[in-house]
Amino acid sequence: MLDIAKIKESMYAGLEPMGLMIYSERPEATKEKRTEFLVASLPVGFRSREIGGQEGSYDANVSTARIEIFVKDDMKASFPNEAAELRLSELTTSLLGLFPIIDRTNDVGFVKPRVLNSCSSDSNGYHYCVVQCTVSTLL
Amino acid sequence: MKRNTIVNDRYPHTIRIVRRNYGLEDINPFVRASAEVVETEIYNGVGRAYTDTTTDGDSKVDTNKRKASIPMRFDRWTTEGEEPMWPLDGDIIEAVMGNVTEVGRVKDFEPDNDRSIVYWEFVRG
Repeated sequence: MLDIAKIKESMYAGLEPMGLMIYSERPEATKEKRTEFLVASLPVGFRSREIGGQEGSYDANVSTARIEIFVKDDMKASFPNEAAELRLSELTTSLLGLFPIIDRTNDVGFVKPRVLNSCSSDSNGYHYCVVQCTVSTLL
Repeated sequence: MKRNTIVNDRYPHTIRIVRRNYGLEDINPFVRASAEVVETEIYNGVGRAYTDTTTDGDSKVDTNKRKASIPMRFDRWTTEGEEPMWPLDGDIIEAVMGNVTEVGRVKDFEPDNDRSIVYWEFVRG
């Protein structure tokens, strides 16, 4: 059956090679200022890929995972909200390089990454990039 | 009658304002970003950091509007060539209040009686 915790476990473990702090949502306050961090979530529902009457027997579900890369702005008096574009682009490339993330133990796969938003301001001193990918529970 | 000595400085905190500038001026942002950033100190000395609003954020990142009062007459601020050497929006302000240090972004700057007031924003996340 669908086990959200296991899917998230695979997702967080799969993102570990980035070496950045991973949050499940954008933190409202942090103890220490981070220049870079990741936010990984499963923002939408799971769709069953099974024929009616077979629910749960094959455990075939698909959904979308959303990974946001946050990079602190390169603040200057001549351009206070300037994005650190080069760093953000570098992190996006290395994130895309992690795919496909396949976890055979939990039978979860994260495939087909796509960049939805390459560089956007969060109005709190950071710029972020959004990468979404397909989550599948049948490998 | 009990005698008390009250020490209540007008400017008990240390305020430091730093400006970051491009090491290389160019119309292309990638060329500008390729050079090392140059930091200039705008002010470093006594001051008083305070606030008269509450912290707000709701479901967003918690933010507070702060002010800093610095004992600098408004007509004493100078320029260095073309560069204004007074606080500008986008400068980094560091307020040391005892063991607490807060770092924020300068938003505005205005004159007052024998002092200057710097408006800044302290973001927690």
